[in-house]
Amino acid sequence: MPSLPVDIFHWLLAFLPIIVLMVLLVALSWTSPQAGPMGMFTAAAIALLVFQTPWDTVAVAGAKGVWDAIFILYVIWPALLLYQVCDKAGGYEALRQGITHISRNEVFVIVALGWVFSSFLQGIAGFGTPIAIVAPLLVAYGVRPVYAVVIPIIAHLWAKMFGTLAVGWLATLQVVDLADETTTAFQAGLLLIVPCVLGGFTVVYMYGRWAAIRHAWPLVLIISGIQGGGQAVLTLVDPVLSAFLAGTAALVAVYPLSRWPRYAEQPEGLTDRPAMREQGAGAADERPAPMGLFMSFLPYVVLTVTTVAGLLIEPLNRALGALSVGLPFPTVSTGYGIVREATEPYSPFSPLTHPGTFLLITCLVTWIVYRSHGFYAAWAAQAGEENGQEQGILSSLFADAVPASVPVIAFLAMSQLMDHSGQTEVLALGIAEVAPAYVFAFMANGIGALGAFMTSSSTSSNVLFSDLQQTVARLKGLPEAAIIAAQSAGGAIGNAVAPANVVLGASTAGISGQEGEILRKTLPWTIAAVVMTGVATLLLV
Amino acid sequence: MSSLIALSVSLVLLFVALPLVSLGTTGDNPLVWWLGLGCLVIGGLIPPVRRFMTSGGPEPPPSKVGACDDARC
Repeated sequence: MPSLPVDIFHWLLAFLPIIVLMVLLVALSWTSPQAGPMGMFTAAAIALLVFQTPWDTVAVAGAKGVWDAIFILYVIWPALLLYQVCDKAGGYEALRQGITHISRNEVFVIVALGWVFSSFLQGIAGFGTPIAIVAPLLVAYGVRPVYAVVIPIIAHLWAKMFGTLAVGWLATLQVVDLADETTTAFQAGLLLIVPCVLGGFTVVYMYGRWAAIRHAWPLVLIISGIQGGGQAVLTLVDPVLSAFLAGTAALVAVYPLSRWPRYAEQPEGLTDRPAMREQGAGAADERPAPMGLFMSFLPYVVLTVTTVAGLLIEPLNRALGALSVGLPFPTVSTGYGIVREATEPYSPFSPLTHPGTFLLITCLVTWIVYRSHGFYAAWAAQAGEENGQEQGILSSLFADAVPASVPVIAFLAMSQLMDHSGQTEVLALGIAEVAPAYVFAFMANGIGALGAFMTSSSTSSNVLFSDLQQTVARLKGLPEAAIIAAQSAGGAIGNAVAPANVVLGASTAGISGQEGEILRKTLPWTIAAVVMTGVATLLLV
Repeated sequence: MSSLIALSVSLVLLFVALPLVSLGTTGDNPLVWWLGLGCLVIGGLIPPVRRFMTSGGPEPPPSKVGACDDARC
């Protein structure tokens, strides 16, 4: 049986599905439901015609992609439902009006919501929950929708690796046998300070360019220290809780920071605010909100309490995790000897410990409370509607969630097709083969970012590439801790351009179809973060 | 056929493919997994094909969130 060919011809063909996807989305402005399947079909065609992949392997890979998508769709649908449950009761208008009374400093509020709150959510939930929750909050505050998606996408990435109670880290330990786990986790924590600091400054820059940075740099450095620095130090104690504790500490710090006179009022001279709508946070809807700030924030309190209880109370977590479902798949292979062993079940899904269930509980509690207080009727009456607005919740949910679901499936099917046919392996091996040791160390996080782009998951990126990174590190005489740490950091950073994340944000911000515009803003940030993390990796090796 | 209905059909076909491929490949039943693969292909083809069928037509109205800033408004 011939071995997998690693040459420029096969490398370029393996890269073609990604090129097709990016060109259609970014250059030609196709919508993601249209572009996603084209990437999937390109990967399938190359698998069949060039990578000697049989039809049954193609079918199994495609079906596994559909299964993988369920993990993300089970966040998208409940998150959009929560949005509708709140919006039809006037919850977002109440939140916007309430926040503007707490602080008149817009950059402070955007940092608190877009960076600190989204990072906190990543500490406990995952699968895109921070984006799905925070994007509509920022829109309600007066942020332009494209920026409302870009800000949480970029800002929470530092917590990707050790967030969701370190699921990415635990997955890494499953696929590689590390000589020094503590050093690896600590170095990953150190490298993740790069996207943390860069993310904070980028959020501020997007809000108000250099004038905003001159105003908010102390705030960014303090929060970066708590989040990024805190996470790195806490990996030495317990990696599983490091992102959660650092994110919580930053959230707690928001209150004393809000008392700082520097951030009490909107500074003079901050007139160029490209991220804000014309009217800014002050006025979007003239109608008085039917509820107060606390009531509008109720869903996020419920979400936090249910998630923390479900994940941190060990007996409860064990009981909820007992329910697990999955489908079996047989062993499949290719003519080049790529084998994917049979799994029964493949990647089991535990719905009761998944963030989607916590979001659904939040929806139910919120709907009951809002309905019992008559908020739906009050908000509808203000709009001049005779019936309450609850009737439109499900139809609005379908209108938003269906277009967001198709591309997520297509992206993940493409990823599985590339994996099962050996295209992913050729991409990584090609880079490893031609790059000298220090160049490979510099590029290691880029491989992790590539994996996250393809799978829309830092955990999947680590599962996909950690073993390869460790093998190449040993062959080239590089310290494996630093290379695995770089892979972990890259796996987090790559989520900024992961199509599923972009679709998720666009759908919850009501701008489905503008995914290319979002990517045009996150792509330069991703490149900068990968380069800076690459330099930081060189300092570790 | 409206865009939402077309995408709904596409979504259903993609989901139907999952158990068909699993059952067909593990149970060594080629007809079933070919049916699943067919669903996957047709479900995937519907959205890009619609781009060319509906070119020039008006976009569906954007959803409410942030609609005032939607470039299509």
